[in-house]
Amino acid sequence: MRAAAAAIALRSRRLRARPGALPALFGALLLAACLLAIAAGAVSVPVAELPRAIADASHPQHAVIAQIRLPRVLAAVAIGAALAVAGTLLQAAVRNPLADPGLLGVTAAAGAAGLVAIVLFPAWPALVPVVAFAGGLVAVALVLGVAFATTRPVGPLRLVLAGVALQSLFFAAIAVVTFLFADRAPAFAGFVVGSLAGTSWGDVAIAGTTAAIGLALALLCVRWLDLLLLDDASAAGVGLPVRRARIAAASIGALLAAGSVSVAGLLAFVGLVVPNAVRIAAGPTHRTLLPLAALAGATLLVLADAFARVAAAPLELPVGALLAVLGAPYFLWLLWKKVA
Amino acid sequence: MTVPMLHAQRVHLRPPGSERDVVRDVSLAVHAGEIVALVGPNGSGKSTLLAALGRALRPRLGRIEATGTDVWRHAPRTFARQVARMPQDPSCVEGISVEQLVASGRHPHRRALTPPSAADRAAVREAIAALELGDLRGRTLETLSGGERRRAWLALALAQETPVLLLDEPTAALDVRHQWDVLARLARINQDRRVAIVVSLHDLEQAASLAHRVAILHRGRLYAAGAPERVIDEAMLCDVFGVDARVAKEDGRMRVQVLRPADPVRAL
Repeated sequence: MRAAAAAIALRSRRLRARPGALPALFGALLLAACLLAIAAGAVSVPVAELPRAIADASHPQHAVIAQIRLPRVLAAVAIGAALAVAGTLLQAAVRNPLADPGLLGVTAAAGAAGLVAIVLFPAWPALVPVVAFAGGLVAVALVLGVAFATTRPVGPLRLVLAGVALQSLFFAAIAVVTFLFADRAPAFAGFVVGSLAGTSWGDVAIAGTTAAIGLALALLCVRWLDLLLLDDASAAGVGLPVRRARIAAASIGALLAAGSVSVAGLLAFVGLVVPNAVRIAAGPTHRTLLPLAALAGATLLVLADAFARVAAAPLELPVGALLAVLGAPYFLWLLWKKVA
Repeated sequence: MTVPMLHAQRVHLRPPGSERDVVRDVSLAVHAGEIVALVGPNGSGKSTLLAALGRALRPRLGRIEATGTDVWRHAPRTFARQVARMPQDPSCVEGISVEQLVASGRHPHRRALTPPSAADRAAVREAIAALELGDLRGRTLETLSGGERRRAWLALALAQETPVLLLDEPTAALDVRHQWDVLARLARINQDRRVAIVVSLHDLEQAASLAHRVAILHRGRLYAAGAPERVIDEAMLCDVFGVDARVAKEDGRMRVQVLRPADPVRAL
């Protein structure tokens, strides 16, 4: 394992020496994943025919491709990128590689708040991500409070345990809302596991807008994020308002998680797996890490969702379950490596 | 009399989590271009005083001024252009290169959303050269030895180009050769750049050879401050450190020879 990681690090250092090589590679992978995901499914269209199927309304598969598959793949791009960037931001905010919007309860809180909005104001779907953002901010405040309330340094384990506690609290809230308003709210199981089934162009607008805003804000903060990689005393010593930087990073993470949860429910582990994997290849500084994590997160979710659609066709697996199969062992490995 | 670069005025300091004041009623002025060594036994308040001088801890009573203005009235970045501080045990996540670390010292000088200026790049280059880190600039911190890492953090503080440098035990956990190396570099920095340095040290001989003035802390109070030969003597060693010792001058250098722990009754 360690030898393999060293080999990857060595190769990636060569790639890093040529600026633009890694982004080009990651971008090409995302494009290939998107084409594959749009083409594959119950109705499959050869990749060469895709442009015509999208643009030409008389193409026999136009309706399926343009109204069902294209929005779904684009939503996966936006949500995958958003979750990966949210994970990167939260990891910087709490200076802990185990942080993830799902594991810290931020998506669960955003989800619970979003559900309340769905149930109380069914006529205003645009309100959902806004209320979800408010819920995510509550979780961020609680997490930062737990992590930095004491003056003693907080071990990674304590943060994870706090996340577990928060998560179960908000899961309970979600269960209550979905049970009481079964007629109006999405089904509990699908929402909690996370799925992209039935994604519309309206969903793409919500996920795309929040992802774009969040990523832009994160890129504006890269210097703050990089200084958060130093210990508190050193970061403050060069003039970083440490607490404000932390709150900013985590709040942008909450915004990104809120946009995702409004469309796809509680997808976990993307924010954990992607930034940690990309860091091995690209290093910890955020000017390169953020865009690459966005590209890699998008690729991962697009591929996972395509796999979820075709693996057991005509049944559709929930993509969140697939991600958990991938992410949970990785999380355990990280936990063992960082805490031991 | 010129305005001191940094001036602690009757400060009482209580670190977070502490029940009582760790530093009590200490006044200390640091003037442009001088080296002040802080010495004292473990727990005498050296690190706490340095933290407060570096604006990392608000005095419970009293105030600290930088060139005549309360340090807490400066914006963080403004203050970071006047005073740089190296904490006792600085750390960063894995994967940061020496050059990236040193470049973060330019944060207080850089404008938002612009790439580093020519002055920024020159300051980083000079700081790396001053600590002979040229061959290591691309290496990541966790791959360096303890001495090299200390030099990298020192280079960060240097890249801030401040008139005052605060260093908390820069020689701790280094072998003798690397201790000597760090001290020689501090003397050079002080001479070449006219930077005032406040440094906490455990070794009294090192403090005497490096510093223009030595400030001795004892149980949170300032026991004495002045030229090394005036304040380091046998009575002080008995009172403050609780040892019977000989202090002698050899070839212009101060020698402190500890003989035995002082008589416990006298030490009280």
